[in-house]
Amino acid sequence: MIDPGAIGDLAFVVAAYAVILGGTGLYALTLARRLRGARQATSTPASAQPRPSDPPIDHRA
Amino acid sequence: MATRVLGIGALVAVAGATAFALFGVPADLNQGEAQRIMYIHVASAWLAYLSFGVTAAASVWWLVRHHPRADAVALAGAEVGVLFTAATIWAGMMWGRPVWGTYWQWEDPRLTTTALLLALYVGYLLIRRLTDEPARRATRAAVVGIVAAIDIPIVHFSVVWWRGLHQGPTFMSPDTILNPPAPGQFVAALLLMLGAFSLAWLWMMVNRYRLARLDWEAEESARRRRLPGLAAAVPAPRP
Repeated sequence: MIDPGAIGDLAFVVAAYAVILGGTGLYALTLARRLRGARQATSTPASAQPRPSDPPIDHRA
Repeated sequence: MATRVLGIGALVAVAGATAFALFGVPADLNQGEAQRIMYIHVASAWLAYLSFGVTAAASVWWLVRHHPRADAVALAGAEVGVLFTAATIWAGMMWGRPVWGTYWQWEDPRLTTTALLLALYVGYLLIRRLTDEPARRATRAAVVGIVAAIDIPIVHFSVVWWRGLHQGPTFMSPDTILNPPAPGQFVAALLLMLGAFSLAWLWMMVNRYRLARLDWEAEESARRRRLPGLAAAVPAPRP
């Protein structure tokens, strides 16, 4: 059942690896970015963050 | 600092293991270059099992103790497990095309139960989005996390219980390290990839856990800040 054609060559295998490693790397980068954002949001004092009960800001004023 | 060292170590290890698997090990006599996909496929599959096992254990922990840490661990396991299951399926498809002559076959029990495993844990992640109340969300997710874990042994033993295209278990054969027995270089490449991916898995788990904890704290703090507003909106009870 082995296909001796181009689909079984090393370039095909490298492409298969690239998709997995690229996807994993992308996930890791996104995770690191989200974690950094969450840390910054947590370190911001609560008084500086808008409260949900605050009235909406009218930017036209 | 330790996590940063772990991340750099994982990056170097994955790069080294990949280079060895692609260019250091000779091609297989029968399967040719396609056999190299086995190293990343098996490593991904084992880490997917491990991730979902962690989710199941943490789900039990949540149901018993109701500790936010348990929910964060469960979420980390599910999300990272979905990533590694997708990698497993992709690698298997890329290997199957040149060796089996097809990317996919629904009649194969291993393939179908693995697809079901992916669907179950994607469902787990979706269920978590149904409610904003952290404790309720964690309880619902924990039940799904435990029920979904039933599929893990079914996936693993599907090649023993039923006939299909997929060969028997690669690991856990009583008389060999690999089944069928493989040259030492092949075993080394597989173990190297498994070790490197395990480092990457650990880094992802730690960071996803931390993110989940921060999200939980932010949600709880937002709920606490909302409470005075809610109290003011509710009319005072009549005397």
